[in-house]
Amino acid sequence: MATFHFELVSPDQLLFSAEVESVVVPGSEGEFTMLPNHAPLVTSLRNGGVILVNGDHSSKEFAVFGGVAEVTNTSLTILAERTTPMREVTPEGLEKEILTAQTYLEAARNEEEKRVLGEKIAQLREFKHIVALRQAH
Amino acid sequence: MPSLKTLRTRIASVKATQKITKAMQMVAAAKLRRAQMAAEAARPYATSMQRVLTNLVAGVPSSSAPPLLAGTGSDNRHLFVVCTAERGLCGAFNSSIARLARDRANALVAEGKTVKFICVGKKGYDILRRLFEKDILELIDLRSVKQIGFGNAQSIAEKVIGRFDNGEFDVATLFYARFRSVIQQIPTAQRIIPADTTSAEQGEEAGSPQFYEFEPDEGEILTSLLPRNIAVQIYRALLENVASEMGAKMSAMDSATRNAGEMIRKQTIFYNRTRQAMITKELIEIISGAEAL
Repeated sequence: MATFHFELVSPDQLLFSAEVESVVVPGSEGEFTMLPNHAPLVTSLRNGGVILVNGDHSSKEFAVFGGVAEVTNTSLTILAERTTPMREVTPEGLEKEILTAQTYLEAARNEEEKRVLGEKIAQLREFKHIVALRQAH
Repeated sequence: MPSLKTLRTRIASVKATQKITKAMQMVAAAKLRRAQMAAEAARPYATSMQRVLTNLVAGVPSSSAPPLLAGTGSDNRHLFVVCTAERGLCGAFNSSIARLARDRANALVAEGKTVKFICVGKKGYDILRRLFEKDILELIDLRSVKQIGFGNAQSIAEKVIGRFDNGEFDVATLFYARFRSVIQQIPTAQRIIPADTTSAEQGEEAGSPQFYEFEPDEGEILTSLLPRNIAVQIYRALLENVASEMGAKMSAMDSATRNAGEMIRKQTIFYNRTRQAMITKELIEIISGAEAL
């Protein structure tokens, strides 16, 4: 099967760079799976999981917290604000993040900030739910 | 003429100093390697960010661009973010950055513009304080930070953007030393607000313009990306600065070690000559004493 180049970078390191078959990207307007020859696209990301399938059908998962994805015909670059391997993500850790976001929300001054933080908390809740479900299995 | 004992202590003290400078040089060399690795690791993000941003900017009409990109329309009030080291003993590193900032500031003041400073690192603050005491808004201390992380850069960026949103300045410039090699660090001034996209266009990767679709839309992505880009620029500057500081320290300590070696050599020759002269003098005294009998 055709492959394309995928890069996952955070500000302080390059986490993944290789040819892959497909990648599930948590776009802000909805999750999508990218395959080779996708139309060029730039999208912001929500908090969620990135699932990639390697050329040999093994898969890998990362959790990303916000950022941007750049799609061209032959490559995908995810500029994550922060990212960790999925196995290091726990519902407890996410709960902690939700709590910090909530303290920020209480301190927020304008409507715009409140909207952004409210959205972030909703996304984190959803993400936590998914992670918890997955661990139960 | 100094006595033999004082000469001996003098040599011993120079030897002790040489040991210290030698050790400092080796520590700086080790730290330099780590700093270079950190700078290397941060590069892919910065280049990708620059590429996405350049493509975005090309698609947004300048009339609707946010102020972080288009500026406020005037350039009367400047903010200088001066990044220097927290420690000295690294040659002309701190003073050359501070000098560049000072010269720029003096030129702007002469044109009737105002300049305010944010200092990152104590050494630059110490130098600039003598001239611009009342214009320094803030000193950001990174002394307790062992390894500079993105979080440090982000908090600096937030402070800068916060002041920009309050309308405190029109143009922000970042001062740091670009790392060229161990013996060459170039003090650099880089404009961060309004965002400088011209340098990116000259980059090798900007060859073919891509036609992207945008989700949600250009404006929204741009408003979230621009502040992050500033943080990335500051982060890169800080990492380059650490590498430059260590490079400067390494070569400064290397020449200090060599100077100490030279001094030890000269002092030892002088010590031996003096000792010889005294022996000869004593011999003459004994011989002439024996002859007189």
